[in-house]
Amino acid sequence: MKEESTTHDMNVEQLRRLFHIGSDMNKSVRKRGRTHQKADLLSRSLSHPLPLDKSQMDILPSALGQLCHSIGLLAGETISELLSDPSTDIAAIKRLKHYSKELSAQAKSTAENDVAIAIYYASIAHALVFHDRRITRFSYERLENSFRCLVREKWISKDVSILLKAAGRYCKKKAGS
Amino acid sequence: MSKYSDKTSIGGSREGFQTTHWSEIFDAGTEDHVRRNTIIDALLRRYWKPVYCYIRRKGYDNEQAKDLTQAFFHEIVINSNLIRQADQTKGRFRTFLLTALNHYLIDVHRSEKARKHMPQGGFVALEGGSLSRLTTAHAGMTPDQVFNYVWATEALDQVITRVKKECSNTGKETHWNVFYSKILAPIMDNRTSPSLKALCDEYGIDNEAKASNMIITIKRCFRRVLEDYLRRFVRADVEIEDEVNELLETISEGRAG
Repeated sequence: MKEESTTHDMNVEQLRRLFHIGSDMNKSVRKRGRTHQKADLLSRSLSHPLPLDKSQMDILPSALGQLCHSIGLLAGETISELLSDPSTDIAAIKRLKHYSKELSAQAKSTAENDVAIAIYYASIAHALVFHDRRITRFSYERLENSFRCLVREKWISKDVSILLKAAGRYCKKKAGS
Repeated sequence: MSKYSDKTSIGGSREGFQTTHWSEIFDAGTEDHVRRNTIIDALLRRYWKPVYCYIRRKGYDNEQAKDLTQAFFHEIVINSNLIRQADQTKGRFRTFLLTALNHYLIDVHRSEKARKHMPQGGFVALEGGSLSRLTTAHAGMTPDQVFNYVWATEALDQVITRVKKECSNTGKETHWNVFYSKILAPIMDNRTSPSLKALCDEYGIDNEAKASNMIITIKRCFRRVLEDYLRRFVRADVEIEDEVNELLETISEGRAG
């Protein structure tokens, strides 16, 4: 096997190049890892039911509040079901939007924050597509741009992507009119 | 012995990079003399080169530098003050070793303490054909820069040796040869990188895509082994890149790129 070369007397540029062998590929591996991580996180988030309204739970005695929380988690539709069901009540969608803001505020990582943002825009998209309601002060142009950016992300699930695309088309039409 | 063989010039195997050196240093506080000597020997085997070159650059002759190198490793393990300074939350292992070495030499200079810590039974022989070569490449560098330079080249040597061994153990000799010819040799010897077609002809590889995949496989292996090696000296993986950048920065201050 080949082995005549030596690291002795190499200059800094040579050392730098050796230290960086494979670093470009590692970045792409890490990026792929992050994509999988986010896709997994989004999938898990969507499979959870929307928790009960915290403001209502806070006024209950703590033991009862915990019970309500548990029952709420067990009984409710999952976020994924809420988003894909055209008949989901607009109030529930607004609550989902509010919940996604809480998720974002509590996020401990970029991945968690990105997933919260995706749910936030998905709830806005649902309101636009199924209720013809804009539940945000963002302009249609800005929303269309945000939906387009999210759709490009590989970690966005197919169902959410379809919803975001439909909302994008909705915004484009509204912005043009 | 060839440069990328499995033995260091002072003996001992280089199997794996599993242990963290901080834990070794703290473990070394043990009263168990056998365990303590094992740790000292392990540290010595891994880090004698940068320490030896630093001491030579400080102006000590070959014999003095060899004795002081060994006495230093006994000192960092035995001397509780140095161990207390080894607060891994405040710095990296390389920085600690360099700071400890500097303090040690000041101490030696003041009190000739080294003689008091000569281990019973004498030192391990720090002999090797590469000793003189180690000290000829550092013109214009400060002792600190010499330490970091030798630390960097030693790290790369060990990584290259390990990657080559992995290739050999897994029947990827041709992979290694292609990677070496296309990537390593052009960097290390400042030569032009051969074309994939030329490599296919030389090593009897079916096509260029296959040769390219072989290179990618060994590049990944190189990266994994390098990160495994560097991981021992940092507190978290995110610091690996910083460690490399800092290392190169300190060297480049004394050596034209």
